[in-house]
Amino acid sequence: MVTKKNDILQGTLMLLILKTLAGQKRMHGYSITAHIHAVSDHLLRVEEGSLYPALHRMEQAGWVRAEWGMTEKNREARFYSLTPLGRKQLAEEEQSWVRLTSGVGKVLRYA
Amino acid sequence: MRKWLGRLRNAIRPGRLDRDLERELRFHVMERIEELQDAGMNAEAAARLARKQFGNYAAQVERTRDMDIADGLDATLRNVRLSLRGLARSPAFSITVVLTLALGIGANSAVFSAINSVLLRPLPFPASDRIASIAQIQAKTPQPNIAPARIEDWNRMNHTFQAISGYYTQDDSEFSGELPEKLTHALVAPRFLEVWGIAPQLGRDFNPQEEHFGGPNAILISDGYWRRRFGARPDAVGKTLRLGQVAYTIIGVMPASMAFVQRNVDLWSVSAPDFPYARSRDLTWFLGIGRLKAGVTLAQANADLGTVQADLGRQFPKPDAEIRASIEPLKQQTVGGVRESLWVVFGSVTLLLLIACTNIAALLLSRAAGRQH
Repeated sequence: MVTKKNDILQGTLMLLILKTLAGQKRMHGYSITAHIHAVSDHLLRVEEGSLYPALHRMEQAGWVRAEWGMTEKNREARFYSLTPLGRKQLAEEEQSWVRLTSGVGKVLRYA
Repeated sequence: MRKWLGRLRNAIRPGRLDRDLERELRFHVMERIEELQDAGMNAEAAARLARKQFGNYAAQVERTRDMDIADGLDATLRNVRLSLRGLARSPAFSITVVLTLALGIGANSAVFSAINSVLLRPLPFPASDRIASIAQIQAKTPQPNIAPARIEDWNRMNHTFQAISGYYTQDDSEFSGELPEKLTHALVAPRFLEVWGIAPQLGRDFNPQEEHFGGPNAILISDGYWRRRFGARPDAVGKTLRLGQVAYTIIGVMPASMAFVQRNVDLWSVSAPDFPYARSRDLTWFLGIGRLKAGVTLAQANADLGTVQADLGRQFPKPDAEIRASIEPLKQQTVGGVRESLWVVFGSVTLLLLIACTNIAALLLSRAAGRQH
């Protein structure tokens, strides 16, 4: 892999996962990393070491639902999908992300 | 709640979670290897690189699992520890609260266990709700006792009882041992064991000859007397007891649960209703008991026995015309006035518990108020 290591903040990672799942019916952990990697133009790379703890934490929180299923290649994988609660959480986190970035952006411009 | 259950399950059976996690992570690594191979890497190098990127496998599993479990259970543990520390910080307060609650709950459960065994549990006989106590009501005498002849009439003429019998107790001296012993002796009408619905634990019930005047003198002994006098030996059956001038043969041993008529009865023998002296309708000595037929209500039995007694009144105007029969459940008769007082006591200890609770609530409130200043 040539991508430079780009750490994602823990809270941001959840936002990314929620957003990724919002566009799909269900995804397994590997396809979530692949999706984030591809959609971010290879800028963001999700560490496996953070991904699975985050997924499990989100499952405990009731934002995502997990179930075992088969991939197209007939391999057993754990699929995650968004719950209504997760959808609500996504809306909130998107808003606060926008607030945060616009705030940080203003500070950077004028400070 | 479900969240919490999930965590608990994870903590109790970490094996399941580990296996799930391992399966999940293994899948991830395999996908990565495949991707690397698609990009042109050979299998071995791809596997090595994927593993390297993924990091320590076991550590990953542990990290994810620990997060799952630790989150919930540690919070619980922390809370428990915190509250214990809070209790220890003000021991006087804690001890007061614990003692107050302990006294309230203790008194309450003590009274409830009495209620449970006295009022709620049935008497220790088969279908004990069908056992009734029968009294004879006569204007002139306050006593409920019944003439043996009348018990036989009631038993013969009624349609609602499986059997009616009677009993009375007296103290007798038993002379067959080295020293005389005073024993409590119940004299019973025929069908006595049929009414209770029990059989002797050893030996047999009275046979018809023994229930008639002039028949063999047979006696049943209590479980307690059997153990005390005969060391619980089975050969006690067949031995002879001498009560006053009369010799009785032991035909059986009552079960230990036979705590009625009175708890301390040692011996039971038949008082034959055809004994000449017992034929008078004026001499009354039995306390009546009966076993209702299945499905018969108390009201039906009362009406039935009323009709029977009215017939007897026509047949023997003196004294039966002025006599009535009265039936009540044995349970009610045994428990009697205790029922009300038990409920009253239970009510008061429940109030006591409530008072204890309000006291503690007030204590907590005053402490919280004190903390704000």
